[in-house]
Amino acid sequence: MQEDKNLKSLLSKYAMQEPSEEFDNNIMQLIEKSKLTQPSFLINRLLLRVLAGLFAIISIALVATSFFAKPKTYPINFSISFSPDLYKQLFSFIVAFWIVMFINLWCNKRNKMAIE
Amino acid sequence: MNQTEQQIIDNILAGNTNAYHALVTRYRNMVFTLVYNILLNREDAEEIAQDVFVKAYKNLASFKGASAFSTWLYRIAVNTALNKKKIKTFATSVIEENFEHEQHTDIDDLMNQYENNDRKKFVQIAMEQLREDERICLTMYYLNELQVNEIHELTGFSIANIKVLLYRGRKNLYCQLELLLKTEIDNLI
Repeated sequence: MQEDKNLKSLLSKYAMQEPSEEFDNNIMQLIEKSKLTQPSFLINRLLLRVLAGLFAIISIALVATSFFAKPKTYPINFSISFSPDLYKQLFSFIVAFWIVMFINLWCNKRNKMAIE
Repeated sequence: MNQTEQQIIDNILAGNTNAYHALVTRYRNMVFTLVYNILLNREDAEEIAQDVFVKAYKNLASFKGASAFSTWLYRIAVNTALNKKKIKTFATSVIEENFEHEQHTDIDDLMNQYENNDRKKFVQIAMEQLREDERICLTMYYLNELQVNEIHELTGFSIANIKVLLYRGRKNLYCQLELLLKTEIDNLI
């Protein structure tokens, strides 16, 4: 134990390295710079949350009423027919979108794990 | 007033960027020493140590306090330094436990014959002469004050290996130091 204490004292006194004098200032400058380059949201975060909340409430209300409403109770019969090619394209787009999204999520997770 | 680390972190997360300076001042030498002992190059170590503090600032919100802030910071330091060396983990090898009785002359007596700056120079040269794994274990254990299990988490070395590396590192450091100091004395005579 005494050996440990002696070595700790020796290394703390003589093996501790010191960076240059500008070290702290450089870090603070880099942080200020990174704050300036951080992307800002185009719309207010609170507004975004309110809109998302409203969207969720209206969606749930519509789904809930659709269970009770009979088709003939709707005032207008609204239907659009698309060509089958459009559905194929839409399906391909959704598949490609989610593949890219999962790759992106996986890469982000790896980066975060590397930092942690 | 001496703020606790959690208070400083809360302050930074609340938007007071300048509060981060207190953490930089507290850990600058220890992070720099750790990175330097991995890279053995002052310029690279300075650049990487700065990068470590910037990364830590950007990811401060993800620090949940599961470990000490210092351990979290050292983890970033080790990963960033390893990235710089373009390796994923430290090289490990199975080390046989071969504990012999430590025998070396009293280093303090030899050290006392030199000025402070010379002592610093000799200890640093002796550290650089050590094997990388020994040097890293000694730095983490004695300078960064990490426990053996924390060193295991950061380096990937097994706990048994770390104990042997610490033992061998100590022994080799004393040997190197003794050799350096005696050679210097002989040259002076």
